[in-house]
Amino acid sequence: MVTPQATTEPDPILVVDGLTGGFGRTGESPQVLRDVSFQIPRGRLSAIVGETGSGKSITALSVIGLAPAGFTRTRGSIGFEGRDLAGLDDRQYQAIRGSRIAMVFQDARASLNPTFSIGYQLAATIRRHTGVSRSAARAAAEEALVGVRIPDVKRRMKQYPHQFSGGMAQRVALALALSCRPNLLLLDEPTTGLDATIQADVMDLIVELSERDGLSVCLITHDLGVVGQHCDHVVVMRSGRVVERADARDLFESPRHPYTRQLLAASELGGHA
Amino acid sequence: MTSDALVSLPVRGAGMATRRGGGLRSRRILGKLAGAVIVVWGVVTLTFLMSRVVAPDPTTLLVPPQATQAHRAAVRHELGLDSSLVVQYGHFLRNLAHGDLGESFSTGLPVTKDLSQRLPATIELGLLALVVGTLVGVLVGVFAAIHADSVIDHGLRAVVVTGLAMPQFWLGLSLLSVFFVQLGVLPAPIGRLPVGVDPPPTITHLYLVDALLTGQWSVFVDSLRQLILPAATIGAGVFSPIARVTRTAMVEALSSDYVRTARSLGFSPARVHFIFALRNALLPIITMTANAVAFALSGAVLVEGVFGWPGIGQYALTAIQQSDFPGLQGFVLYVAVLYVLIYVVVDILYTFADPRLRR
Repeated sequence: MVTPQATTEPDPILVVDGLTGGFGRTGESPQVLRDVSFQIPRGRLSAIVGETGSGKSITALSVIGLAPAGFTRTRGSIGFEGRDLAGLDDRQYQAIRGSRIAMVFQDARASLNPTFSIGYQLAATIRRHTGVSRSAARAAAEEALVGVRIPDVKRRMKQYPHQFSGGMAQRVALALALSCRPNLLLLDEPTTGLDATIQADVMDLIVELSERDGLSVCLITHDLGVVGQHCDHVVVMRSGRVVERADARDLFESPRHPYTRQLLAASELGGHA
Repeated sequence: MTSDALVSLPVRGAGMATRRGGGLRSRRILGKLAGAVIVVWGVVTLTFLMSRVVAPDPTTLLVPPQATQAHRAAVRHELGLDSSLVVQYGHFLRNLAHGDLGESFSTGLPVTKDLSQRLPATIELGLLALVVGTLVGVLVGVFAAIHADSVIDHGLRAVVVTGLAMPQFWLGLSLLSVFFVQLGVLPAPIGRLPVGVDPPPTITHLYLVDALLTGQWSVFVDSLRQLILPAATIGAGVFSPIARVTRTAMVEALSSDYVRTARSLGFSPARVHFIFALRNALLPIITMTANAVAFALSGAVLVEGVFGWPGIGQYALTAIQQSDFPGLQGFVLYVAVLYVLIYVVVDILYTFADPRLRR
């Protein structure tokens, strides 16, 4: 699956090609994604950048098959592990979600179920995709929490989301997403709402996990600071279109699209713009 | 959260329960029990006063109109109605403390005996209505929430609103006119069993259960056929508010971030709806179910009247009509204790349903 404008990435993990769609019965009016094409390189950190309403979130949600109810895809494909995800039925998608592709959502604390213990949520997810025994799932759950550097795991397993701080909840959300060892991790505004130091800790952890496990990570964010520090590849979106795809270093040094320059200027990082 | 409540039980809201932190568990329970005793005392006292002040003098109903003044006075003395209100009240409280509710003016039997004879009928009817009404209510609520704002949702809402708006006795009469009078598929409203059928041997006092336990299959069927219409009538009163709060709470839960997370982790829709979302919708459902339990077990007075059901609702109706003060007081005491018990149970259930309410 080669796209005309593909960057020179040898073996991308995700190839989105010509993704087009919108709300309304026909997906025509209003159109929110217009011919969105990009690739996410394997084993590295990338980012989809754009303002609110640029279509970045709906693109990410489309990849994991959770586009909002009113959204209709009219055209395009989502290539992942040799399959076009856009053609999958619900059941097939359920098998992929959480096990091959996982997503961490913006407000980590709200994204954890308040009425189940952390241990239960992790173990249930692991059992959903691996079918291992209860005790094996609990052991794997503890391991997942250790993996995101949560201390005192045994006690934490029994606790509920409201007993976790924002940063710790973010780690739990990460552990949940990574519990079944997906290949691609989508992170929606992973650091918004966290203190600067905790933000840095979380990003360091994500980078470390990516390097250790060869995990491909795609941030969905408007925070160019985070992108500049950690990402290799950047896709810039605006009004439902991809306006620029570039290596992060190139993008920050010589942005080609005027909109990218505006974004950089606005975030006070674009010294070269 | 409970804005949908038709009959509102004074159940503590979620917010208050969290604020009540600290304090020892035993102190909490003691405080609750003390509160419960005060509530029950208040209710029986109020009933005592109201029955004596508002209701007509029972002697006028007990003696023939042509009776002499002396005869009347003798009856009044026998019933203890000739002493002052304060003395009567003291007497009433002293007996109550000994578990003696006095003798019914109308049946002449101890009120405790009257009540215990009639309770099983109310409980059997109430439980059946509750189980069916709650299950169907929750299922319909969940289903409507999943299909929120679709044609199905609007159709179900029409059914629920009809159920909320329709007076119970009228629904009962309508069901009777269709299924007994016109179609003739269900029996006449003559109580728990058809004429000539003996109750099954007593084990639990619930005919359905006892018939099943003793293998009397035909009695089971007879008793079930008698139960269907009154249970459907009370069940409709249980179903409608529960379906409504379930839908509201589920719509909120389904739009939450944690439900989206559960989906993103690959859980099936059934698991997402009935485990991850429904668990979070439980608080208002518990509150509403508690209201329903109180409603169904306190003997839906008019429904029991319509179906000739020999439960405590009918007993209360008779007690009111005949100024049977002890009978009425006994009924009110039962209802007060029932409400207080439900209130305590609900408080405990809340902490099971929502970990944030645990200390």
